Amino acid sequence: MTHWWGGEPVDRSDGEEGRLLAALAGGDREAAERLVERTYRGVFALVRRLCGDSDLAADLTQETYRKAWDSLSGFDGRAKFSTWLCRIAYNTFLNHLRRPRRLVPLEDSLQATVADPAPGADETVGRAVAGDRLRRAVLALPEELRFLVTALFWGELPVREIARQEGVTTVAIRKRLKKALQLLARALEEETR
Amino acid sequence: MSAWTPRKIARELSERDAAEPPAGLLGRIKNEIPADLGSRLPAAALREVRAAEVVSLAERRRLRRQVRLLAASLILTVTGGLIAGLVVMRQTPPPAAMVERELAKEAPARAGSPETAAPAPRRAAPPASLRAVPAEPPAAPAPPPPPAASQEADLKSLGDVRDEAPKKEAADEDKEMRPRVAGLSAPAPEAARAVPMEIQAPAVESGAGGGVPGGVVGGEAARGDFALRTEGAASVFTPAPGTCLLRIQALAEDAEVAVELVPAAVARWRLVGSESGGRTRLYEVQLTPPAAANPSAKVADLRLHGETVRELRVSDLVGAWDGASPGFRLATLTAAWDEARRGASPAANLERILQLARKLAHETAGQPGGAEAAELVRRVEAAAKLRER
Repeated sequence: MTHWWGGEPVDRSDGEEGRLLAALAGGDREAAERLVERTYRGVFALVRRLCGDSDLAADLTQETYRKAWDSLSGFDGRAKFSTWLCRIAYNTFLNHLRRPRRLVPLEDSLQATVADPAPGADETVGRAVAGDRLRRAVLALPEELRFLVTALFWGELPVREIARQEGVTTVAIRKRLKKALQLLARALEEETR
Repeated sequence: MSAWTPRKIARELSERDAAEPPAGLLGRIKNEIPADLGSRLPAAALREVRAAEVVSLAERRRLRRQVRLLAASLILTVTGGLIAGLVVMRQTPPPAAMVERELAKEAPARAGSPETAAPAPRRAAPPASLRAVPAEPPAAPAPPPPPAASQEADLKSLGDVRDEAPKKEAADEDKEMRPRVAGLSAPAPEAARAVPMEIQAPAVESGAGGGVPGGVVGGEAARGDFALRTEGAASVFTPAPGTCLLRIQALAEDAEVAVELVPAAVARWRLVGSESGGRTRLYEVQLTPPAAANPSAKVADLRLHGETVRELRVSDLVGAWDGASPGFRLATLTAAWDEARRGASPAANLERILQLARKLAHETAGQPGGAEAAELVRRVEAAAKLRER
């Protein structure tokens, strides 16, 4: 992660994405593969943070690209391709949540994570529990704030890119972020009591 | 888990997930790339992406330029401040060095042109202190010139008086004292400018050891291998109230004497004359009204090698001139005569000087300094005769 609370992430755009898209438009398949190589780790990380499961995250990542290719004609270039992809991954995860048969109980997931009684297991458990609480609190946020937190912290998107994607100013994004963090703090505190 | 704060939450959320994508995921995704993917990409989106990148690059350049400008301005500010500080430190020497520099600047000019105007009175107030420091090791007092040998020089000097005096003194006898008085009371624009004036007759100081006789104000301060002698009296030439004459003598070699005047007590001052080498100095000081009314008010600190060795108070300066030591009186008369001879100070009129010099010569006849006083009388008389013609 290149940013922290209130900070501006480093924008690593170097014009490469535009060149790859141009090549893709020219029918260059390697350009599409190159785009995937550049972005799939980020998509996977985002989805994994959302769902908390690596296997499920891999499936959702694959599904994300499938949807992206299908809806590529809807890409308007207003935001970067990676940002657009992040939004698709997020929606893919939400769609996954709406399918009860695929939902993995969080408790079960946690059990699988902490089953190993190796030294340091207590710390692992503690961190896992805290991380899981945080994840659940994020998912419980209102949609607008939830996507912001997800894209900013887990998708590692710059504030400016999120603002462009959402069609608002960076100031509005920062205000939303502040509000989201306050809501999260309140929710987590209440859960702790 | 401890209390959840927004900052802590942001930190937790920012922690990286170490999990790597499973092997084979990339291949699976690549395999699903449609063959006609290129045709699905709208041309407008492509233009938009490129435009956004151009804007992004431009923004980045602008940001870099702003950062560079900010850094440059910071560097310039800091550097400028440092340079200015250094320049000020170099160009603003301690008061002692300031006066010393002025002495070095003015002395040659005065030596070459005795007609130079008298030093302008200075204010003592604005700078915290003003110092006078001898620039060179003190030179041995020169013996008085034999009358026969100095006859030619005297005539030349008296010729100067003949040429200059009528111009300066023809105006109004009443005004003679005024410029000096007015000079001291009028605002002096060159506030802290030290303009020393060489005492022309070396004989003055040769016998002017003086001491502190007869209750005349003054004193000595000794520190190791040097000593300091001071003497003061009310000015007999400038009738303005609170105007005093102060003579300071450094009696030891390598003695750096600094006179630090107290602005609250000294309204104006000027260096009337100094022995070549600057070891002996004669100041005219105008006290402020409050100080003139307070005999215990401090007028100056005298420092030797930076250490205060003596404090001069008003009571040290306001004694009667007639009661001062012969050396002090001879020095002040010589300085006054020098000013009159050069036409530098109409206040120092020859008649008054002659009167006081005759009295001094009479008192000191056959004593140390008597010969010099007599020589002064002779010169002033000659000058007065030339003027009468």
